[in-house]
Amino acid sequence: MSDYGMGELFKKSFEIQQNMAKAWLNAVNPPAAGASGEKTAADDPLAAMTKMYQGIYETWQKQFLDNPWMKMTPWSYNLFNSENPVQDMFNKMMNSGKGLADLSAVWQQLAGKDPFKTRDEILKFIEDNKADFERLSQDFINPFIPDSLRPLVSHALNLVKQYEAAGKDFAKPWLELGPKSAEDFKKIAEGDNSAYGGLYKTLNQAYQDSFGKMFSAAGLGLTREQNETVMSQFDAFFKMVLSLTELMSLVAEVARENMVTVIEAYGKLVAEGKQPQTLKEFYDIWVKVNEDSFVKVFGTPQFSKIFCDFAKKSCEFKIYVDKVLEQTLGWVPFPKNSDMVSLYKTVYDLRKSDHRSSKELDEIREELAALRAAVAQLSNPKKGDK
Amino acid sequence: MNSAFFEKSVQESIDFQSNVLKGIKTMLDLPKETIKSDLLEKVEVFSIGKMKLFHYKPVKTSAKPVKIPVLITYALVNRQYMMDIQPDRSVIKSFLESGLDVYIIDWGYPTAEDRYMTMDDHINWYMDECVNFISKTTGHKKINLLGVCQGGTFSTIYTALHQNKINALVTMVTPVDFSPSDALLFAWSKYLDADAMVDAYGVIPGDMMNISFLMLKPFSLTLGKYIDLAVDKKVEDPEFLGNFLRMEKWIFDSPGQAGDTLRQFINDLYKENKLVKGELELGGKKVNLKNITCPLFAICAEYDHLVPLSSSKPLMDAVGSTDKSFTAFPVGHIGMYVSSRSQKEIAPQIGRWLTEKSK
Repeated sequence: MSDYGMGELFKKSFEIQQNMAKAWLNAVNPPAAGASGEKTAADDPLAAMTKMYQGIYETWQKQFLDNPWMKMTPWSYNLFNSENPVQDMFNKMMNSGKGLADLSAVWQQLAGKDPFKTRDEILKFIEDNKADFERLSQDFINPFIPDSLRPLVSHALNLVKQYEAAGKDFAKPWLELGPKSAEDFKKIAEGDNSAYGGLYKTLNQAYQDSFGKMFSAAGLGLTREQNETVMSQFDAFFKMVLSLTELMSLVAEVARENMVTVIEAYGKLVAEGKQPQTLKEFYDIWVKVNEDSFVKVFGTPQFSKIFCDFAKKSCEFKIYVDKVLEQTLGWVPFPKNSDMVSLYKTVYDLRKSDHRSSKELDEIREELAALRAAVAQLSNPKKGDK
Repeated sequence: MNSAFFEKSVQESIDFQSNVLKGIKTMLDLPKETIKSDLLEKVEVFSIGKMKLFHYKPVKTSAKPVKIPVLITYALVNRQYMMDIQPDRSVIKSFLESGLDVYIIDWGYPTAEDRYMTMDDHINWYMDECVNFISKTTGHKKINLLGVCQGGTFSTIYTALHQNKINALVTMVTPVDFSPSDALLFAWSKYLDADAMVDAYGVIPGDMMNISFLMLKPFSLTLGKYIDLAVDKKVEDPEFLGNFLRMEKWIFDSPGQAGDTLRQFINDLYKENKLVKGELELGGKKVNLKNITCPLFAICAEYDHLVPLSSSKPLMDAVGSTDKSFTAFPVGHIGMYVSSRSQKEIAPQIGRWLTEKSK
């Protein structure tokens, strides 16, 4: 099958990348820091190269997804599209490749450093390279989330930052009413991000004790019922987002701790002279630490409760969204969801009733057949029968 | 800057991209039929609603035909063609080659109107009608039953309620005792609000099940699998890619779950563990596992991350059967069907056991 010249195009692209890398290397002199003391591309060509590859992956993905010809074929990003499995595989491999590229950004930062001596040094390194780690986390989370829900998750992740700011200004006096939240704020100020989980739990409770009550208060007037349903929808939405934030903060904390473990393991290997020689080797260490750790965390009652709470709150939000939609479209002359559900119940009950009746008829037929056989036996006794 | 390190990294990145494109080119050249499974010949013989009962056509084999037929009941959460994923990895083909007369239930894809289907409906109605049909058409009062995973749970419950219709029972990777928490699904289900899910969706979308399954191995099943594919030298091998794509198709081919069935499965089994406690009620009758007195063969996977051994093994003590055996194979949950061991050891062993019990 023709590849429409794509093979040649990509071969050319590889050659360009290789030539650029060689030229860059030949042009590089020993480090000459920029005026502000920042590292230049000459000091750290690998980092610049990684940024370029990330750009290439993103451009390829965009080309594929935004290409009008591709848009003619409906597909779903995450799930297996049996109509277009090749495109599906390409997306998944390229998305994974992007994850690999983002991991390489982290690795390359590590590769140029001596092993860290203390945990504090590792935490500072993670803080200094926050953007890279956040991108890596996003790469990991994205495959679980359908396209339509990604804005919600990135909204929740942005909410983490917004709560940080809001907490320091508006919410701080409000939350400091409780000694627990004051303690969490103190820990966060000292750089202990594990306190965010506790803070969001407190925020959750504080919401339910204040704004939550407002949204679930009884309504007044002619449109009382509709207003109550809309308010309940808002309430369900905020509760869902708060629950998601709590879940994401736990995941983020685990991811951060895992990165500390990876860096410590890497440091040990460097000290022994056995450091990974390729990105794949570093990736293998990173994925093993994360997989083992996340599976362990996922099995804890703490995670299970938060995860299932988020699932429940999402379902409750959906229930209210459906109710609001039904109310809004109440005047439209076609059956609504609740009408169909009622119909399904009626049909189900009828099917069961029909099945029961069929079984009873079969039993009656069997009894009748047995009776007929007995009567026939009596009417025409065999010779010798008395 | 270590130039050798730098050059190695650049080359690694280029090799990755190059491999991805080679893989894509190979996939583009694969005929669409390559990713088809479920190729063994079979005939639809019975149906109710979306459920279909299929009868496999016999294959050429030197084995003597086994008279008593076997009905395979798969789980609701995935599709049954896993057992016939491809011609050289087909557990069903192995059964047919053992001389077994094989029937299989295809539960279909539930849609909105199936939301009220219960466990009682699936077991005492659909399964029972299938068993009755097979009995009637083959002339055997009792048939053999083989249940897989949740289908094994259903088969166990069915046998406890209708022992007079079952000659022998085989369970494969079947959860019976839901009290252990050493598997993620078991840990999560303790806190899952099934009522909220059912009220929101009616029929729980297959996508939700998929996401839960992906989270069981969050890195391997999302990023890792595709990176490993991209760096694998076999990415240009059409046969290798075909196998990969077939598995991918099956993994994400999860049907929706009828709400009331899922509700009872989670609440009565995962949360309250009613089955082994003898407290489960179906169709107004208590399910007493001691009523199972037929020969039983329970098979488990040692590395099963979905159904731990601690959930399957209790069946042995719970039943009233005296002729019972338990075997654990060193495979995973899916490896039970697609590994080379499944073809060479597991399926033939089941075939021999069923042949022996059908004399």
